[in-house]
Amino acid sequence: MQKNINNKFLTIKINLIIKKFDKKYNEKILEIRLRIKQALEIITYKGKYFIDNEGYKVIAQKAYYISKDDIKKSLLVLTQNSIYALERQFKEGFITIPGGHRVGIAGKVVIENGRIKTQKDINSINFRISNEIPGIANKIINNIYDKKIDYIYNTLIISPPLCGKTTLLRDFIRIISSDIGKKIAVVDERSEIAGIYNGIPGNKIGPRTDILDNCPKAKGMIMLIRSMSPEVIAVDEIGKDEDIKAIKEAVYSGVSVLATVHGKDLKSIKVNQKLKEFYLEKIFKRYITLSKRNGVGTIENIYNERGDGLI
Amino acid sequence: MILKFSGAFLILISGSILGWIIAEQYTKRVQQLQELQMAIKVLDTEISYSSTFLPEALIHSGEKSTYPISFIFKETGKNMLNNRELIFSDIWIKILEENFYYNSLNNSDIKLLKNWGKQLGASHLKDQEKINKIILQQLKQNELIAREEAREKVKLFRYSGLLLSLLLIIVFY
Repeated sequence: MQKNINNKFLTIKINLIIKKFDKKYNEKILEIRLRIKQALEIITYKGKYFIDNEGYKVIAQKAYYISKDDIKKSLLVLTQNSIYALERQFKEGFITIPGGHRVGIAGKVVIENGRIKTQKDINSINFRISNEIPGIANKIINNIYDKKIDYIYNTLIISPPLCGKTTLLRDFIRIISSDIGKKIAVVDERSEIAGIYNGIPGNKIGPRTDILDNCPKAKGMIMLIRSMSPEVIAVDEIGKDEDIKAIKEAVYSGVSVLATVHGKDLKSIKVNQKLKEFYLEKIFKRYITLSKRNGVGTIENIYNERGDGLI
Repeated sequence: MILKFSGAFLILISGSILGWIIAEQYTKRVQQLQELQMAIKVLDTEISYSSTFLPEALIHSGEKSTYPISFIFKETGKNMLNNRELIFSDIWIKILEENFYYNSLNNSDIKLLKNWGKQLGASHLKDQEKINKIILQQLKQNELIAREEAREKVKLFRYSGLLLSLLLIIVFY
């Protein structure tokens, strides 16, 4: 049984269509996309499809069209009729719901004093279903863990969106925490790794994992080093200058770092203005590149700090 | 003779009670409109200062009110928690309609509350504060009208009940 989105976060109408689709095709859903006056789209591991009222895969013209009311009701259901309580999330462009699923929203951006204040008149909602696949990292854990010296190599997972970066990172965290037995601290800025809702993790992340939820990565890493004495720190989707600085500080403090970043391959890191110093200074000892070539989560290669492929 | 006296007595009592009940509706409407404003002020504080989610905010403000306003707020909040896939305005309107005969609010008050319910929770903080401010002003206005009506009609209905029952007794006996 696939881990799907809790039907209580979709309107009755959309939920019914999704259920019909699920029953007919039983394909693991990655995204449910609602765009105002556009066809309802579902993205699964097998492809992208427009869906009609009965849950059938159809061409766009025959699909169920999302009305303004669908978007309005979806937002109300999603926010428990409390849009005012989620202004910060609207500003950031996503809401996290139980299970670690991320719901992206796009609308009219409200700017105040040159900064994004919030979004209104939402026209697009994207339910990104978090996929927890315990065991996915089993076969490559030995590439990032040196048993002889009991050490986790600083590792950077590189892939374009929707290739399974977070899923792999989550499973590494679970293995390091439960099987290897190290203290691991996670800065879960978007509540996607642990899927924390109301303080309770929704995903399997191991018994020795400390989670700093909803916290900016750079600040969170420093806080965790000082407060939780971790042996390993894990963060998702790095990219800002302060993230790079914080990762270096963690590494120099003797803490192993596991991180993910958007990119096509190792080359995209080597040429990236901000990230290339990781490669030049040999901060990360392992680079794992992912793709969708043979399905989401295909491991393209694992490189060492010199850029030599290990598989 | 005893039967006649008992009958007359019953008519007198029933007429007076009827008049008293009708008159009481006017007094209760004023009290309930005040109570409603108080509950909305608590709700507004929950929304503005602690960004409490609407179901919990409704339950909290219901807990600080008295029946029947407390029931309407708490029941809506509980229904929202139990039926996440439903939207607030649908639940709110249903509960207002179901409880119409258990409170003293009139159609004009209910209409205001229904319209307010269509906007509550559906926009950002500043808008919510404005919406709550407007409903409080409208309810205050209705309270003033209700107060005036109560002043004019409470005594009228109380005496009318008594006098009409006396009239009936004279006509029949």
